[in-house]
Amino acid sequence: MQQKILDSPAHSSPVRSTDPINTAMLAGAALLATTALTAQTQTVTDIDVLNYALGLEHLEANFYTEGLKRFTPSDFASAAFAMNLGNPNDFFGDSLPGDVYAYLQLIRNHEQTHVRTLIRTIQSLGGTPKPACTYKFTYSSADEFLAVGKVLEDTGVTAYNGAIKLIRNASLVTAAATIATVEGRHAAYLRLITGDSPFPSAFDQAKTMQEITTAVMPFIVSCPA
Amino acid sequence: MTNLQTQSHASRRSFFTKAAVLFGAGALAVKIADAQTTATPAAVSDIDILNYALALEHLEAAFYVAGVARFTANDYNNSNNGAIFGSKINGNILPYIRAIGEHETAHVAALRSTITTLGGTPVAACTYNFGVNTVNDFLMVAMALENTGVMAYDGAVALISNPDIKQVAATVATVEARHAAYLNVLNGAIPFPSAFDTPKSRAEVLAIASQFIVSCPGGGPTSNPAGPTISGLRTAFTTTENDIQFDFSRSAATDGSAVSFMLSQISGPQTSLIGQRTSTPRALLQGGRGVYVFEAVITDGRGTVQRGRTTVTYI
Repeated sequence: MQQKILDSPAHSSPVRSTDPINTAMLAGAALLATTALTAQTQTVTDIDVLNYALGLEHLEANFYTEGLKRFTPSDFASAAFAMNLGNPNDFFGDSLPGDVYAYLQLIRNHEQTHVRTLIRTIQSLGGTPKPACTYKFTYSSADEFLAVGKVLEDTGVTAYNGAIKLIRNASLVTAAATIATVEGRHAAYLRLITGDSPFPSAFDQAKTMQEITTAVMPFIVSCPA
Repeated sequence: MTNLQTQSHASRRSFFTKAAVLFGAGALAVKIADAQTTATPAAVSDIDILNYALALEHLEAAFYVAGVARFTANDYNNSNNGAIFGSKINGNILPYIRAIGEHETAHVAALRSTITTLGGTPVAACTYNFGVNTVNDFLMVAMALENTGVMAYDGAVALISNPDIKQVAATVATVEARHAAYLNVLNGAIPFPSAFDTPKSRAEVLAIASQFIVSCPGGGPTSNPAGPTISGLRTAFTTTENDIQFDFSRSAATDGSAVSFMLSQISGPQTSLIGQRTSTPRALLQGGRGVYVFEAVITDGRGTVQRGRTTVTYI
C-alpha cells in the first residue's frame, strides 16, 4: 500500500468549495494544518487532507512513543483496568496478559508507519509535510494512559471517516480507507480491554476537520510556525 | 465518467452468477492501481457497489442470525476459544456476538433503503451454508467474514461516486474492522495484524463469499457447479484505454484439477492478443474506438469447459 501511494501521480486537483460544510472543514484545516486560508471561497486539496491526517498521526505516534517509554509491561499487568476485569491473569487467561504491552507497541508502530507513509506521500505530491507539534497528554497511570488512547483512536476513526470523501485521488481514498479500518481495530481493542463495548454502534461517526481540530486542541501545546 | 445504468441492470440481474459477476479483477483492479486522476475511477454505478455490499451484509446477517439462535452463553464459555480467556471476556461473548449480528442487520436495512432511494433494486438474500458444527467453527468463520468485509469495503470505497454514500461506506468499514479486531482476539489472532488493511477487489471478495452460497433467488448458481469457474471476467464495460489487461488467475476448477485458458476475439475491430493462452492475457485494441467482444474459455483437468464473453466498448 505504501508503494501504491508513492506511485500516485503527483497531482492534487483543487476543489472549489463554497458550501457551508466545506467552509467549516476548511476552517478546521487552517487550524490543524496551519494552512493559510482566507475568506469564503477556498480550495481543499488532497495535500491539505493528507496533512490533516498527518497532524493526527503525529499526535498519536507521539502519545504511544512517550507512554511506552514511561510505563513498563508490569505497570499494565498490575493496572486497575486489568484488576477491574478480574485477575489480570484471568482477564486474558493464561496466554495473553503480556500481550497488552506488546499490542500497544504494535499500535505505536502502526502510527509511526502512518506518519512516515503520509510524509512520503505528501512529498511525492509536491506538498510540504507538516511537522510534529509539542503535545501534552494528561495521564499519571497506565489506566489513564489507556483511557486517553481510547479517545484518540475513536477520534482517529471519526476523522478518517469524515475526510475520505474529501480526497480526490482514488488510490489515496483507498489508502485512507485502509488506515481508517486499522484505527477502528485499535479502537476496538482498547475499548475491549478497558471494559467498553468494542463496537458501540452499527455505524461509526464521521466528523469534520473543524470538529476534530476542536477535539484534539487540548492535547496540543504549540506547533512550529 | 459515465454511470453505466445498463451495465448496472445486467449485473444486478445476474448477481452472484459466477461467470458473469466475478468480474473486475483484471481491468478494474489495474485501473485502481494506476491511480487515475479522476475522482470516479471505474465504470460501475453506486447502485452496483451498494448491491455488492448488500450481498455481503446479507451473508453476514444470516450467519449471525443462525449462530445466535444456535449457541448459548454456556457454549461460548465452554468453547476452546473461551477457555483461553478470563471471565470478563468469556462472559460477554454472546452479547457481543448478538450486537455484531444486529449491526449487520442494520447495515442490510440501510443499504436496502439507500439502493431503493437511488432507484435501484436491492439484491435478495441467498441460501447459505457456512459449514458450522461447533461454536469454535462459528467464531472462526465469523472472523473470516469480518476480515473479508473490511477488505471488501476498503476496496470498494474509492469506487463510489456520491460523496455522502462514500462517507457512509467508510463508517460501515470501520465498524466491520472493530468486529474483526474483536473476533481476531477471540480466535487468538492479532487484532490489528498490519499498519494498513488490505483492499480487495470485488472479484476476490466474491470468490471468498461464494463458498458459503448454496443458491440465490432467480436461478443463481449453486456453490458446487459442474465446471470450472471464471474469475476476472466482466460481462461488459466501457473504457478509455486501448490496452486491456485481463486476469483470470483466480479462476478455479471445482474438482481441484488443472485449469487452462484461451482468450479469443469474437467480433469488433482489429485486436492484437498477447498471452492469449495464459491466465493474464492482454488485448490491444488496435482498430480504434468501437465495440469489441471477447470470449474466455477455461478448461479444467477433466475437460469440462466454462465460457464467458465480455463486451468492451472503447470510447
